Parts: sequence; structure tokens; C-alpha cells
Amino acid sequence: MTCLEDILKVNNLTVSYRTLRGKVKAVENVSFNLGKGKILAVVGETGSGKTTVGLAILRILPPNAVIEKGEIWFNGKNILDLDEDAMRRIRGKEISIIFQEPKITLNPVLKIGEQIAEVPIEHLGLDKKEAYRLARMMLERTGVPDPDRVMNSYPHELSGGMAQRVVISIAMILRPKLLVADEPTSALDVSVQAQVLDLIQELVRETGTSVIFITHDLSLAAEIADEILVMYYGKVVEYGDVFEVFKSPKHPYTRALLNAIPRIGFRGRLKSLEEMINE
Amino acid sequence: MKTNKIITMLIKNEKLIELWRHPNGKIGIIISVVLVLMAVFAPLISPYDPNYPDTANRLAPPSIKHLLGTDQLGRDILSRIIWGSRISLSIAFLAVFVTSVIGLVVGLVSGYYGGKIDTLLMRITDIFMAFPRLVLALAFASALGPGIYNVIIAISIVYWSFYARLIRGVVLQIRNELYIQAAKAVGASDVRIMFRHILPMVTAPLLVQATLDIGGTILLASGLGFLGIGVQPPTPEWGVMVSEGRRFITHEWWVSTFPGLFILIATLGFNLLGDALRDVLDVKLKR
Repeated sequence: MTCLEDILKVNNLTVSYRTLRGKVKAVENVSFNLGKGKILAVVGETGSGKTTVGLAILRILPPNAVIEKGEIWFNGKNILDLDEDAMRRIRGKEISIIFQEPKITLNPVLKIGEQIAEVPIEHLGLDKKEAYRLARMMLERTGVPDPDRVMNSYPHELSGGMAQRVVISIAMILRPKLLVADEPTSALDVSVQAQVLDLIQELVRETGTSVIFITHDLSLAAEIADEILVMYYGKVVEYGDVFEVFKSPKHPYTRALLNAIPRIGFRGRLKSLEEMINE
Repeated sequence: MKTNKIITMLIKNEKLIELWRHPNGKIGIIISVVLVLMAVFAPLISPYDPNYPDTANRLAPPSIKHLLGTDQLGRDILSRIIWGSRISLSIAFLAVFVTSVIGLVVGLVSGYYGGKIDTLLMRITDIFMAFPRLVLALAFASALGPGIYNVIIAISIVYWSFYARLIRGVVLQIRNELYIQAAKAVGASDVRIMFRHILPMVTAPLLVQATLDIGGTILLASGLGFLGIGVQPPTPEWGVMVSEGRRFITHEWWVSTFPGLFILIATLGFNLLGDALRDVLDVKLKR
């Protein structure tokens, strides 16, 4: 599925974590491509290595992680070969990330305005006034009511949905080419989830940003993604077009996952994944 | 600007009121504010020139004319104490400021980068912490020679390692927070993360430790003055005054006692204030 329009190409990425009991492979031989403006859903259960893939693309893995092998081609450059300074210039400008918990993603002692304005100040060298103006515009764009008040607030004064809008503003302010969204709606109230999801979709469509959407929610993946990649114990078990995967899942794990979604009207017991894989 | 956040917060909101309601805080505030005012307005409030020898009234006991008596040269002790507060407080504030800055930078770098840099810096602090404070200060003060600035340098050399340790501890706690990772993820530089994102979190424990150490520093500076290797006579420094009155302690007790009493009050005042600050800002320093 390689084409010239690919913004990201991951080849055989293998990441381990050094632990007290030796090395543990978190991600093994993961490969995928992502086209311009496309949305790829990375689906898997907790501990399947989906977040590790996301962190590896920004090279912000924890210090005990080792990238064993593989290549991450972004915009024609293997970002694993870049030095730290070049990488820093990519983060936040060309590749952004949205974390799961908006409240702990924001620094509790800095005002919202400063945290958004920081990005254009660092990357574009804007002066404070310009950067704040840009930040305010971005907040307005993400549908924050009363952006002036929010600019002057601290994170604890905001609701979860509002905080996630701020985090999205930070991620999208420089119109990055690639957005890694690591379960951006999981920590939010159900009523807010849909709004935030719509917002992300709207923004990336507007800016032509490609998205790696990390989630454990298959129905969510089906709803927004163009392609889907299912991970299980650090390995890719299914990768392809969303419709294809949902119509005819090839791997038993994917089938099991799909069967694990409870349906209204279904009576009887839902089987555990192990039971279904063993069948 | 953000560095002063805690301080501005103290000034304008309920923390100051809370501090005032704190039983130790009230005494601490009163003592330290009075001492600072005394130092600032020394020329206005001191009844005599601190170095004017009233030879007719040498070693005069406390009276209406000389409230705290006079010393062996006939100098008014109250005036000398008032002028001495300038010396003691400026040594204390400057030394604590220098130590905070050094400790802050070392602690931030050490805690943030970790690894070899951390090991190296922490072994250096170990060396400095291995000596008793007074002994180390004595050694450096005598090596540097007498004078106010050398006293400040000597005290800073003694104290910086404690600040480095304190700051490093706080940095280690917050280094792995998600918001630090998130700041990294938007491309913030290390310097920016250290000074914009981590520094504000460090201000509260730093402020508490600095306030507590102002008392300790006054005591240490007076100790050096007393031993004759700090500030030199005839400068009206409290430690020097205690030392000069030593010879007359049996009969003319006021010469040594009053400056000594002020060392006690000043140390006590800043310690109480620091103690109350710790409670109010909810800082845990013991680790």
C-alpha cells in the first residue's frame, strides 16, 4: 500500500523496555504507511504496544525504552537518524500528540494562554503578543466559549472537555502534518466525547493533517478511520482498509474483538477473548 | 516573571492572611518586618552615631540617655545594634540569594538530566555536605580574608549544596509527570522546560528553605564575626559586638547581652516565619 503521497512510513519498528527482569519487547516488527490526510486507527487492548508506537514516532519514549530496529520515515527523513535538536524542531510543529488525560497533560501552575502560546514562540520565534493572539484565535476555533477567560485560567479551573480542547489547540496550532491522538476521548464524559471527536475530525480535514488514532474502541475506529491496524501483544495482527477489516477479519483475534462488542438484543453470555481464540 | 508567582500570590491573596493567622507566622512576620524596617531606617531611628565614642560615658549601664548602655569606647549600644541589623540582614539576604541561585541551577540540571551529570553533581554536593557548616565556613572565611563580601561567599559555599539537594528532589518528583513529557512533545527546549515548566513548582519549597536559612545565616555570620574572621571591628556587627563585650561580661553585662539577644530574636523570627510558610504553602521538606 505504498504510494508517493505517504507522509509516514514505519518499517519493522521494534521497541523494548529494559526492566529489572530483563528486556521486554513492547512492539515487534510493526510496519505501516500513512497517506496524506488519512486517518489510521491503531486498535488494541491495554499493553498491546499501541501507545509505544505513538511515542516512538515523536521519539519521546521513556528513558528505559530502546528502539531495537526499524525505520520511521517522515516526510522523506528517517526520524530515528535525526539528532535531538532537529527532532525538537519537528515535535509540535510537524508532528503533534494528544494524550489521553487532558488534565494531567497541562502544567498545573501555568496559565492556559502561556501553554498554548509557547508553541509558536518556540517554533516560529513569534513575540509574546503575536503568539497570544494566535493562541486566542486557536481557542476560538476549537469552540471554547469565552476564550479570553480561558487564556487567563489555570488547568484546574477547566472542565475535562474544555481542557481537552485546550490540548487540541496546542497540538493543532501550527497545523502539523501528522497528529498522534492517543485515546483522546477515553477520559472524557460520554456527552463530550462526540463533540471532541467531531472537532478533531473537522480540524484535521481543514489542515490536511494525517492522524494516527490510538484507541481500544473498535466502533470508534470504524467511525472515523480510513485504515485500521490491530495490535496484539506488540505485533500487528490485522492491517488494512477499515471496510475490508470489518467485513472479513482475517486474524482470529480481530474476529474475537469484533464478537466481543455487545449488541442490543443479544442474549446469552459473551465469550472471553481466550475462549474465542481457542475455538 | 513566573518565578515570582508564589510571592505575588502571597501578597495578593488569602495565603498572607493564612500566614498571619498561623500562631508562629504572626510572631515571625512581626519580628522580621520590624528587623527589616530597623535596617532600612537605621539612620533615622538610631539615637547616636554608631561609631561616635562618648568618652565621658564609657561602659555606662542602660539609662534614659543610653537605653541599652554604652560599650568600652562609650559608643551607644542601641545605635550599634540598629546599624548592625543592616550588616546582619544584608549578609543573610545576599548569602541566601546567592545560594538559592546556585542551588537552583545545580538542582534543576542534576534532577532533569539525571545520569552521569546527576552523579557527578551529587558527589560534589556530598563533599560539601560532609563537613560541619561552621567548620567549612570558618575555613573558607579565613582563607578568603575578612570583609562582608568574603563572609557572604563563605556562607554561600557552605549552603548551596543543601539547596541543590532540595531542588533536585523536587525535580525528580515532577520530571516524570505527563505535562513535562507533553511540553517535550510540543518541542519545548530543555532550558525552557527547566525554567518555565519545572521552576514554578520549585518556588514554594525554595522560599520556605530560604526563609528558614536566613535565621541560620544570621547566626553563622555572627559566629564568624565573633571568632574574628568575619566582619571586622569597628563595624557594628552583632557577632563582633558580642565578642568585644566578652571581656566585661561579669560586670558590664549589657555590652554582650543585648547584641546577643538580637541575634537570638532575629534567628527565632525568621525560623518561625519559615516554619509557618511551610505549613501555609503545604511543603514537605523532610525526605
